[in-house]
Amino acid sequence: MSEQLAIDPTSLVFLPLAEALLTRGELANAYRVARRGADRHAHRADVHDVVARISLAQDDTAGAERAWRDALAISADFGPAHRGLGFLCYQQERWSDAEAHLARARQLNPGEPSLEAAWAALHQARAAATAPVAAAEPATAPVTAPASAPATQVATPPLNSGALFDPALGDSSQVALLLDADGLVVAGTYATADGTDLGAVIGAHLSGVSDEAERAMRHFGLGAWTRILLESEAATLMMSPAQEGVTLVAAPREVPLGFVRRTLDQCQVLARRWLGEEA
Amino acid sequence: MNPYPALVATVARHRGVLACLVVMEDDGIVVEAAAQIGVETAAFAALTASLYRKSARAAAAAGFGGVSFCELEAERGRVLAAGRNGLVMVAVAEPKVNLGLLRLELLRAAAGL
Repeated sequence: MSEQLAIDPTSLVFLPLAEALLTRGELANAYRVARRGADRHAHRADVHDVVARISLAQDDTAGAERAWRDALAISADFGPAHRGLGFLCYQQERWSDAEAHLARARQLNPGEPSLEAAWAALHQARAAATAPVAAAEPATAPVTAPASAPATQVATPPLNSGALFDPALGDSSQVALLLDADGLVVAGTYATADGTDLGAVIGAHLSGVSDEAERAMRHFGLGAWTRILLESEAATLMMSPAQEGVTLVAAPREVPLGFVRRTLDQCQVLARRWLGEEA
Repeated sequence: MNPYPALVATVARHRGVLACLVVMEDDGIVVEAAAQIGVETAAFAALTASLYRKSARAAAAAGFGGVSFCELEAERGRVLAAGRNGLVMVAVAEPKVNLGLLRLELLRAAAGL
């Protein structure tokens, strides 16, 4: 793809190339390719979406927001930008903005599991965060009102627990599971390319590692364990305790460790909120 | 010539490392160790070897292949392990240790096991 782009710099091949670099964790290269493409094809919303996702992976939330807003300036109904801004505002606890963008994204992509999970998680988190200081919440109405959310939805966990971690995982090649103390999958999915769900198998085997860590910690005098990292031939695995169970993230080896850790932290926040541990 | 003292010393002199050991993966017996006073090397050796073994078995059973490195992060410290040829190199470190550097150092040393 790099050669193709070198031969024809106006080609749109930079889009899959930037995506591939993003997936491989080569963020600086991915950004450079996407940014050049955005300069040449500034009228395309999807190009700005790629720039935004790479910026987000680089922890440049302001850059990501700017790029998604550029995309919306081109096409006000560009779903990925509403989705991205919804997730971004959600992470920044900008509830009203998150609600407006997620509502629009849901209208544009009805029934998408990750959006439905994010919508439910948003209302749960928002209710928990604002309950004691409800009066302090700005009265500004969302740009687009969400489909009227019944009051009961606030306390209801996402109906599709398989999509619980989608806001943290996005389109990345990582997967996440929430396992209970018995190694049973509580939320998240681990599906292979052919659609087989391996969550139960992986949960059953790997939950034993946390039991072993618990046992070790009783003798180490280092306090409670907070994270386990395993690097295997095929994947990087990271887990953190979540109530009696664990949150587990698995990523291909080419994904940088820091990025996996960041994903785990985000999944942990979602898991805790979902389990009702956090206000 | 016994290569283990040099391997252990390489890791042990890293800032923030409290102990470094080479242990048998099967039974956690210490082959070589360098530790600061007060660190119970026997407990770290036995339990880290056990954790490494368990992790390797679990990862293989789950289809992820063999494990080459594992890290246990806790409130007051970190335990890192890298294995090869039936031996595991273990480092016990302070929480604030430069993890990236120590991981590389440990993997490099473990390549010599």
